[in-house]
Amino acid sequence: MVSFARKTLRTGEFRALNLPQPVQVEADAQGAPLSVCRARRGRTAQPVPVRHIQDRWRVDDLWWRKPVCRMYWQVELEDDRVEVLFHDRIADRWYRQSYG
Amino acid sequence: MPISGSGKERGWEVRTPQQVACLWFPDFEVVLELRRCPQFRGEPVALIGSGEGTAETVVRACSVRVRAAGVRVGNPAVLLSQRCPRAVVLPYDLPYYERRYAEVLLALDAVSPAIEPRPFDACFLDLDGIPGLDPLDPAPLAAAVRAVLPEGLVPRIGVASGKFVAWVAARTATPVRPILVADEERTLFLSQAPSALLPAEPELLQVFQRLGLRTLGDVARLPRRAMLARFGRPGERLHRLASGEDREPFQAMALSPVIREEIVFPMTAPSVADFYLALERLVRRTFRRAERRGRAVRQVRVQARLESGEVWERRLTLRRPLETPERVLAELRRRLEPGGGSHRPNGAFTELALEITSLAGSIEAQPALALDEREHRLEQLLAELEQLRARLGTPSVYRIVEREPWSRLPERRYALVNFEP
Repeated sequence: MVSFARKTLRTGEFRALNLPQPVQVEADAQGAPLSVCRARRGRTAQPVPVRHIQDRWRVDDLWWRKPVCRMYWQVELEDDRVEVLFHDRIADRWYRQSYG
Repeated sequence: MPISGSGKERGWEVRTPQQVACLWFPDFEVVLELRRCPQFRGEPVALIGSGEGTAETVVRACSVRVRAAGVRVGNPAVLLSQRCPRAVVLPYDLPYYERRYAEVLLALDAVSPAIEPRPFDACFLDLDGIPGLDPLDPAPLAAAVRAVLPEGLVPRIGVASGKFVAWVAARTATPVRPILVADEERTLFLSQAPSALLPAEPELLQVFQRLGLRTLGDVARLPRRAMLARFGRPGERLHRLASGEDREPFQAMALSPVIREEIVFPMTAPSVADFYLALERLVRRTFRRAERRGRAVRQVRVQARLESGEVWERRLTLRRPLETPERVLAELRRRLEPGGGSHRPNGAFTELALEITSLAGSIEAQPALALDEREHRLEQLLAELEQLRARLGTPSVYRIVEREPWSRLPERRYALVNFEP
């Protein structure tokens, strides 16, 4: 099959919202997050310990195309913030993303 | 006959011109493919796709070298690997050929305003009253045609007082030598032409060959009553044409600009939500086109290029002309849902296009005596947007739209799109 050089019209029509943001996370042997590096304005990133894991769930999707396998963690940090992180089990990387 | 991209199907005008030119574009589709894929020039090329009325993959068009190998249009595509294994095989891109053919017709409008199309291999021009054209010398006509057509598209030109004789003349002409057949030469000219040029079904033409009727002269020498008795009215018509009695009417088609909008997705769009989201934007954009001039939409064509490269297409005639984008969109959604008569594309797609192929008459709408509050605010918003765009030069206002709000992947639930009122 030959790919055709076609005129591209109006690319970028649709931009996804709430894309995952890469983040540095230290995890234990079972994969649970222990601390999250938060970048502060004008300062270097500091690891903030996880005070409490509020919830966790796993998402396996699009297995018939480009598989997605994520382990989500809703965590309460020592600075009282609540964040949702996920570990991409295929790429072995951590991300931050709003959920719900 | 509907022409993609050339606008309305109404407006046919039947004429009886004194002189007609036939422009024959041999292997039109193959020529177009070689223009956009020049690396295959010199190679045997075959275009394959689904046969008409069948799901089998057949040869839809091919180059001379493929025909020389014994492959014909309509043969199963598998024959290529047996008879012409070195052939370059490309998918038959019907929407592309239709658009290019429509562009050819629009370009030829500069030569003659009366054109009868015969997609894709030919078209006829009414030459009556065209200034600067010599009725005895087709060279100025050939020069005028060359001047308006894209480079690489060189038709063979035949001129005569009837369409069929002009067609036979075009088939005999060369790219550099058009042929004009005067009335007094018509009978002799046709008598030597092959009977395969008659406008008949392939099966009938094969019968002519088996009966030894290899030239138009052979057909013309038969008694007309015998042709009528053996082949019915179609046979009688063919006998008249072979005898030079060319009374076929000339049906000039009025051309109008294309109203077509397209969206190309930077990533494959796999979901139903993406499809309808894109369709809504296309409907709204086509409604804003000035060419529509406020007229209601009667018929549309939706095209999608699938991830596999195939083209999905549906031409939908609306039950009644619709004058608002919301109504058109609602009708399209109803028709494209399962059970609605057609069906949206099955699979992920990379491009989506919408074309308005037929419009109704002008809408006589009473202007509103006063805008309501909502419309007033919308007008104000549009004015502000225009100022922003003028100052910043790029779209700077966006709108959040739902894609798959039920998705377990948060980035698939909503999307940001340029705000278009």
